[in-house]
Amino acid sequence: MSMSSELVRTLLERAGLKPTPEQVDTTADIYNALADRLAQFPNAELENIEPHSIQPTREPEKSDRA
Amino acid sequence: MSISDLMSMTIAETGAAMRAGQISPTELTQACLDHIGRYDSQINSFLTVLTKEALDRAKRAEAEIASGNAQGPFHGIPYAVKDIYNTKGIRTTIGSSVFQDNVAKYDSTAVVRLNAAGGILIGKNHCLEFASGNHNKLYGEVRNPWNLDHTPGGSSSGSGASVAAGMVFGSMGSCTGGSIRGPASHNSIVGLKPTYGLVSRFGVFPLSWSIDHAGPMTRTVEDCAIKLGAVAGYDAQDPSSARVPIPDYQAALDGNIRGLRVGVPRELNETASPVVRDLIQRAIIVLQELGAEITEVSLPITGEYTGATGNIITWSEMAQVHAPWLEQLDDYTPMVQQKVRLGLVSPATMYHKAQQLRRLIQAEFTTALQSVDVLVSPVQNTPPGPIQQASIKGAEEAKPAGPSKAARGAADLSQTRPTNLTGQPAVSVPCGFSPEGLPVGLQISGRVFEDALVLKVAHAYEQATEWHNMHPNLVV
Repeated sequence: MSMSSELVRTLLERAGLKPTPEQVDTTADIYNALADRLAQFPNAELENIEPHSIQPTREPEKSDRA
Repeated sequence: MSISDLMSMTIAETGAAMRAGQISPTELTQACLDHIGRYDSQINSFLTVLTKEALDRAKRAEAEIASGNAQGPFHGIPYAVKDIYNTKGIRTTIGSSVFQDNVAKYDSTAVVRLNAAGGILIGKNHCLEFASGNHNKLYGEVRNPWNLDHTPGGSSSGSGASVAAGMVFGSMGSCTGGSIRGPASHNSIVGLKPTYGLVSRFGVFPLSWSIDHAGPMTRTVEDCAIKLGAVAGYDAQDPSSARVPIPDYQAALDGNIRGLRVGVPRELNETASPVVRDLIQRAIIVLQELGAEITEVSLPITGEYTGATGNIITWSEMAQVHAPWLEQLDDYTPMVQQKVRLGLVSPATMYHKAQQLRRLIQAEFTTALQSVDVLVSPVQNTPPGPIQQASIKGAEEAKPAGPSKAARGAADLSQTRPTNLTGQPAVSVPCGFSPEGLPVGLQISGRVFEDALVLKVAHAYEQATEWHNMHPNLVV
């Protein structure tokens, strides 16, 4: 899912920034390189893979060391 | 006490000498402060030196030890922390002009525990801005004590340099992509990224919550084991903290690795420069001579996707970490600004796909570590480069230029990044020098919560070689 410089500019401005044209182009450039790399891994092979961010709940308990 | 005396002293030996009354904490702390005063104008490894506080604490430690109340091997030992660790009532800059006057209201858990173990906090180490980027515009460059024209690595730059230079017996670094092992490798010291959840990150300024680790940097593996023993353990204040038994890490260092199965991941070894590759091969031969069985393994998903996966996750989380200070983004260094902008535009679908791939990378490591006990690889592709070159590289990476080098490089693999994603323990131990005299480190990683085994292998290798007995030649 590549991103145009125009879309990058819009997103950054909505975040409250005032990016220069160079900053917009660099952001689009690097983002698209990363997106292209991840796109090489087929989504179909991720069908049963839950993201790593899904972790077991850890009970909040008082520290036994601190 | 000369600088060469200090550089060759270890926590283990010095702690024993203090308990035997052969050296006092005050004498030792004063010697470290003297050496900081004498040499750090060249190296720039400290942002804050706590002269009065450290000497006051040393006097108390001296009285405690003299009255028979020695608390253990760390009692009376001067240490430092990277300046992203909160220290109550003491400036914590996070390496940024935005936080140059920030005074923490509480101690990080690591500082609480090291102080409770009798450690003497002597200062706060210089680091790259927000533990990211590759430059610190407010406080300048840290210099490598092995060659002042070369970088000490980052982002725990001052931690690595000050420990190597004998100014302090150990420091605490932090690691999101290699910021403990990289400076350890570049300064010829030992740096451990512990298993995720083993060492509390409470009070350590975050770069990327799900990838950040806190860990010790010392001159020897035994010292690293002592420091890990002091800081490891469950902390309810850190939501990632794990409730696991804490073994005696020092006792695990028995030197016997006969029959141990060592895997050499093809993907983590093939991109190194010839000089690094040669030193790693020699290190593997040493492990073999110690009785280890060497096997090549392959981690294809890791090799192909770690760079993009790590950067998407890190920068997405980083953008939210920095949300309160977005109005001050122009005050950040260009590379850190760029990372925050990338995180701001990355859609949630990209973040979750990266987290799915992270799961596959973790599974790949888990599978590999069913047939071997540890993995070995370089820490860095090259020895430390010249400071000027590192700064120019930083400027180029923040600068636009068509399909740029930065864009191509953002998806590339680094040898340290994978275990930040998987959470496994990984250590850098010195394994030699380039023909120019610049240090190179060997990385040893293992299964989660087998930090003791990783240290055991590193210790066996260290004791079979002489690299840990070599120290930089500092002159005023």
